[in-house]
Amino acid sequence: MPLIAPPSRRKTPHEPTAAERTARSRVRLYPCAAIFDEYDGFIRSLGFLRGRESAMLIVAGDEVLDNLITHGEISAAGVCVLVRRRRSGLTLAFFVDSHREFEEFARSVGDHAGARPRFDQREGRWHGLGLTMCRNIASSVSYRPGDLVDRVFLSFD
Amino acid sequence: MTGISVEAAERGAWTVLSVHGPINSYTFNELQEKTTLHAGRVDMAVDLSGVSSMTSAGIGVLLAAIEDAETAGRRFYVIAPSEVARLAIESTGFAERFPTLPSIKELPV
Repeated sequence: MPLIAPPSRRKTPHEPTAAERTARSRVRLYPCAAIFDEYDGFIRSLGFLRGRESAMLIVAGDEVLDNLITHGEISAAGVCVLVRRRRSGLTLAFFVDSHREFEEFARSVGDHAGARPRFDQREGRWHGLGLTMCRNIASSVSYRPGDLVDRVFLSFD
Repeated sequence: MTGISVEAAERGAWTVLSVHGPINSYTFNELQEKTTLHAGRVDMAVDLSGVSSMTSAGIGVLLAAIEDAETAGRRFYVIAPSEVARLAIESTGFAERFPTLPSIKELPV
């Protein structure tokens, strides 16, 4: 059997192969200044992403990482990032050691679902802006605290 | 590239800040220092064509600069945002708050 299919049987450039339809990849990142470069490089290295998918995963994923870092939720064990192509889209997942602030944040997200971002004059910073950005890019965003591992799932359909 | 570079240059009536690298919670201070120095004092443009990624930390800096410019009656433009910078701005849901030009050559006199 020839290794290269004849032209009539080759897939068109925009038609995903069976492997691409079920592709997945993961990486573990550690809390340091280079974490964004490493995450962005990981996303850009994924050959199964198409069109704007890389940009969407970079913007939404950077936002999740920034939030986890800002609240000190990434332990020395780092954060595991998983990208998986589903039949109808992509899943981006983050797994970190359980942290009390994450549980509180997850609860506040549920309590303020649909709330618009607001600027806190006293603190001089925005609240809820990053979450709004993630929600506007992804089809769904969920924060799931656990006893051992906290998880963030974003779906892109 | 772990850090960012923010270079200021005069272009006619405009002060143009050219940003290169990722804007996030580790790096936004450098952009904030430069925008705080100029926003509201001069007409300012921020060239985002070299931005590799941008989180809400960077969005917040830009929004503050835009507000300072509006309050002072100064002009402000975002120039040629990279794909991820443009998507980050669009994802806020209020992209209309960011006056944008496709090229530095389009800056009004």
